[in-house]
Amino acid sequence: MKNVLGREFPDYIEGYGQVRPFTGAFNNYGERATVGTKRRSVKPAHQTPPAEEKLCRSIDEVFDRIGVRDGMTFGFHHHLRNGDYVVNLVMKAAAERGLKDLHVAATGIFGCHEPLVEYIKSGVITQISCSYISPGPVAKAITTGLLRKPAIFRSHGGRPRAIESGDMHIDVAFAASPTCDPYGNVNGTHGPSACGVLSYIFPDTEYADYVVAVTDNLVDYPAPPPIQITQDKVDFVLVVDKIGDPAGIASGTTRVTTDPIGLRIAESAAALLDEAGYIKDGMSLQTGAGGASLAVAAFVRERMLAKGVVGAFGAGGITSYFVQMLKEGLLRALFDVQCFDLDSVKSAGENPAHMLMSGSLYGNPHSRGAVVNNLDIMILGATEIDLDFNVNVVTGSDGVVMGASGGHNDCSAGSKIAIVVSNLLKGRLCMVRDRVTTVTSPGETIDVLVTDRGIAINPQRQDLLEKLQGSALPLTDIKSLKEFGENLTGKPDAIEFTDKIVAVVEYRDGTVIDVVRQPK
Amino acid sequence: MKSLMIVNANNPKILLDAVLYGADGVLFDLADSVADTEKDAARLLLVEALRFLDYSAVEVVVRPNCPCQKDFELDLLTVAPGKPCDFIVPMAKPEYVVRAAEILDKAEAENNLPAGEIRLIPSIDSAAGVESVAAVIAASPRVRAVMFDAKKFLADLGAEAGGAEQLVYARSKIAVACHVAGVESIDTPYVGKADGLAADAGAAKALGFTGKVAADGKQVKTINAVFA
Repeated sequence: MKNVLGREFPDYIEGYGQVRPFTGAFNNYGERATVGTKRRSVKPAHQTPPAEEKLCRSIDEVFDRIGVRDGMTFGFHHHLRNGDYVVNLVMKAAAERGLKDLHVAATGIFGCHEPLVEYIKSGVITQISCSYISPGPVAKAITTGLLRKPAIFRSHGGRPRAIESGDMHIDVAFAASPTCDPYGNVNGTHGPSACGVLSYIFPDTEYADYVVAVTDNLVDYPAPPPIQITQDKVDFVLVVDKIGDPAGIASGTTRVTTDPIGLRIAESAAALLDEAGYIKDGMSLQTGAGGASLAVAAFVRERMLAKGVVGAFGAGGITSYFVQMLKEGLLRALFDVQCFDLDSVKSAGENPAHMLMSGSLYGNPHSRGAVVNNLDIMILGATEIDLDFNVNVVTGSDGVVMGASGGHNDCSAGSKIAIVVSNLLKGRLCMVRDRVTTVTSPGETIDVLVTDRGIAINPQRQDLLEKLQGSALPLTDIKSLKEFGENLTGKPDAIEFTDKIVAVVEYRDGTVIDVVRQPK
Repeated sequence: MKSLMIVNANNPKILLDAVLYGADGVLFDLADSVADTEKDAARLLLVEALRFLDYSAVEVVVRPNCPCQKDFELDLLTVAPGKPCDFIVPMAKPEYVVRAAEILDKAEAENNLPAGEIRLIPSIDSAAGVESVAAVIAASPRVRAVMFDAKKFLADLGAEAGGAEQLVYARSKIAVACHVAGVESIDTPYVGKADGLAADAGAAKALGFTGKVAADGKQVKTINAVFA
């Protein structure tokens, strides 16, 4: 079948199941039920024999008490980012126990998860689903078809939707817990492996059959506030030596790019937002944590200060720049789904206006209203964009998996203006293509492309084009950008793929927007 | 020309991106930035880039090797067909300016370019250059500006590089001579800590300079703001 974007795949994908094709960004709303949950109730403390206490001494004890078996799905969050030890610890124990055919449903996969490649090869892991993946060994293993079933890439809003709807059932959630008490109250902002908010694990703690808090900082009951996961959600508490390496969790600071071309792109984006009337009282914005996206926030901040504008909120992955804007009174609140640096971890633990939001609250299209729906401005990156403004953030132009959807298509759909900022030439290639290698976010949700060689506005946004008539900004059209870029770089030969589908890219509503095939 | 950004003429990526920094002029350097073994490759790469890429948004300035070296004439003859706006005359003295003008007469004639279209920017790199700046400007009607190189000037004097006060005499002399002759004066590149750039550019402007060399793309915005 072909979906509405002309992307072709079978009706049924082995290892994934029946395909629901993408039909459009705003076609799949309405009433729907959530799946039921299973819980194991706990007697009062004075009625609980020591053997039934939540606190476990070893991962094997946890496995025994749960009765883990082949074919299970384990949920993990990625707030410890490239410093995470928990996924590897659990999967090592699973491999040693001889478990097979496991599904790792981690919200993010990083370079630190390289040991998983061995378990993929040995059949311990046969499926991975995630919202984020960094370029590295696991991404390479997926691309080369080592996984027995296709990987599934869901957005940050799409993953909670899949869990709530029953599309993906989590058997056991292993929640890395920077601070935890013996009864399972978890705090993410304290402890040697503090990582801030634990937003991405909430659908797992709500809907998994078993929830295990894995901590390296066991404290007396009750854990200090703010408690993010409460005891009524947690079956077991497992104490380990270390849940993560602080050096890989949050970088000390995140910085605006110092590249003058990146800064000029960001300055143009901020100027466009101002001219189009988006910098005004009550505004809201989200940017990625990359240097160029952050630079847009820095230039927007300058314009807010100059105009005396007070914004409603900043959202998404939070950095010290948003924390500063909150402190300065430029924003009234932050909705935080991921702390990117130490300032944001500290602020999340101290400032009531710095609010945690779950992945579902952030971007789930089938909730009663996600925060992205209230977003004015979204600044995004892209590896490729096509003439219809469809964006790829999943594969490089060589077909190799180098990322996953993250919040890209949640925010582009929800925001009033979604701007992609990028250099026109990346490496030796022009990032504007006739056809992107993999569609992650549909062009109908992308409004503007700002590059170092000019700005293209999606023709569907006639209102923006009219507002910016007569602007001094370097406005052009996307076809001219492509021609200009290809004149410099040449047109690359098409990549050749086998028929093997190595990953399925779901749109946030659970329909399939594209698939990744194994490059030849 | 408020800002003149120096780039290595032998770096293909910089040749592609040079127009993106917002500098009024780009100085493609064939001299100090390019290793001796790469000189041939650099001048050929540069002339091809000037033919193929669109540099209409900037003033294209080329710094050849010193007229005291054999590469000087080859640089001018090879790159002139790419129609740069100006050539720098390094270690400027009146006879070097005259020689540069003669080479360009020949290059323009051989390539059917309008006579006198390519201009010269003598670079004042020595004490003698400072003292003879008026004569340097008067040596050819092709001279459209003068550039100052403080590092080489101080080295020639035998003075250790210090603060802006060391440069007051040289800067004043150059700026005044340029003003009288009706040509632009472009101040030396700044190589200190980033937060000192605006003050250094301001000091040059206060003495009458009309623009400044940007040592890299990060300096362009500040220089443009100071000389605006």
